[in-house]
Amino acid sequence: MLALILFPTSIIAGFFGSLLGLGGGVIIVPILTLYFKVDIRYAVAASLISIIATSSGAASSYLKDHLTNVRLALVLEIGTVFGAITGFMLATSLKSNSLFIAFGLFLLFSAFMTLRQKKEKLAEKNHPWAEKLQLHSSYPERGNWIKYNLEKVPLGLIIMYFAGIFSAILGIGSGIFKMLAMDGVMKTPLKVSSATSNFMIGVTAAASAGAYFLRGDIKPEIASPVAIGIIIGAWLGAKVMPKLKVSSLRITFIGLMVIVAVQMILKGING
Amino acid sequence: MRNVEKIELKISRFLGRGVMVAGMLIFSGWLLSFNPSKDPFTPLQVYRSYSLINSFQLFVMLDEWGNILSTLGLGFLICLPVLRVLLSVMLFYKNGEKKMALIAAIVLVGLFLSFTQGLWV
Repeated sequence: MLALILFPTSIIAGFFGSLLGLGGGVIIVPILTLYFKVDIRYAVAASLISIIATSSGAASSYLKDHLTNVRLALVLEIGTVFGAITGFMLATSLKSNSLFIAFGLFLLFSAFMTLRQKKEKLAEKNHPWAEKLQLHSSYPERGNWIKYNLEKVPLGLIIMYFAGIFSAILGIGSGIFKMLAMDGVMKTPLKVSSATSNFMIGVTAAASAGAYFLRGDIKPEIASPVAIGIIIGAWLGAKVMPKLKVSSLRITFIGLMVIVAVQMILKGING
Repeated sequence: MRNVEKIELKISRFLGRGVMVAGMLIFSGWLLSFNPSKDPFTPLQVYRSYSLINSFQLFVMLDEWGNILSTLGLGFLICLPVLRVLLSVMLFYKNGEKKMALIAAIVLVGLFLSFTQGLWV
């Protein structure tokens, strides 16, 4: 019977993840570990599959709106991919308890970042690397093309390295770190950093998913219903989102995230 | 639309279809192997290191063709972003942008290095 519940649960996870701009991993890993009692390593591996599916499936829609900066995505993917290599090595040496605590702390960080008001500050000058690689670009806004520059590209790359580490350890897309690097540090416009982050997430997740897959940690019994369920849920969420008032839902969800974060941390401490 | 973006859009649409194919393989395999009376979670409550090759051998021995189909679908899905990066290498090289082609190639090498970790870690 439990096997029947995982598929609709994944649809719900994908639905709310899409509505609230949170990856399915943030929802599905706690569900698999706290409710279905699956070992966190299998849960992390299954979650990465769903991230690849949703990102790769929606990549063309990110590009059509002319918001995705493909060149910037490729440069920053160097950071995330090599971060994923480090993250996988760390994940194999960490005990399950540590992974629970790390995930709980990440949920608290996500809740804080989701509450934080994002203020857009655009870069005045272009970093020399952005100049050489032509990473600066423009995006459409109310019928006009707005040009933007990029600051502090090396620091953005370093943050992406840590984003890759967390992605591999926790089974998340690390979208929050990517947005922090792009709009927070590199001063990319918010719409561009969101689109570029979503575009990059599939490659970030694939880096460690491939390693987990070859190690035999991606179990089709859970990865299959999770992947399909999250794709369906995310698609439904995208359809419904324009019609819903998401702000009150977001506050409720942040509250739930904090509760689940505490549960994960306690599970890690108590074993 | 800029030239690079146009081609990347074509690549992304192609990959979108790839996700559908992978999804169909995964879903078909899951349906074939689905048994409502069997609990798939209990064996996964304790972590056991079991390579992909060993898992495949076990699936073949037990005639679990549904799991074999799902696993092939999952493997195909994981390869799609790698394919995107490979096509980006070719795209930038063909466009005469050797620096960007090199950057994409570094990402590709990183992906392969990451994958091979699963064989020896």
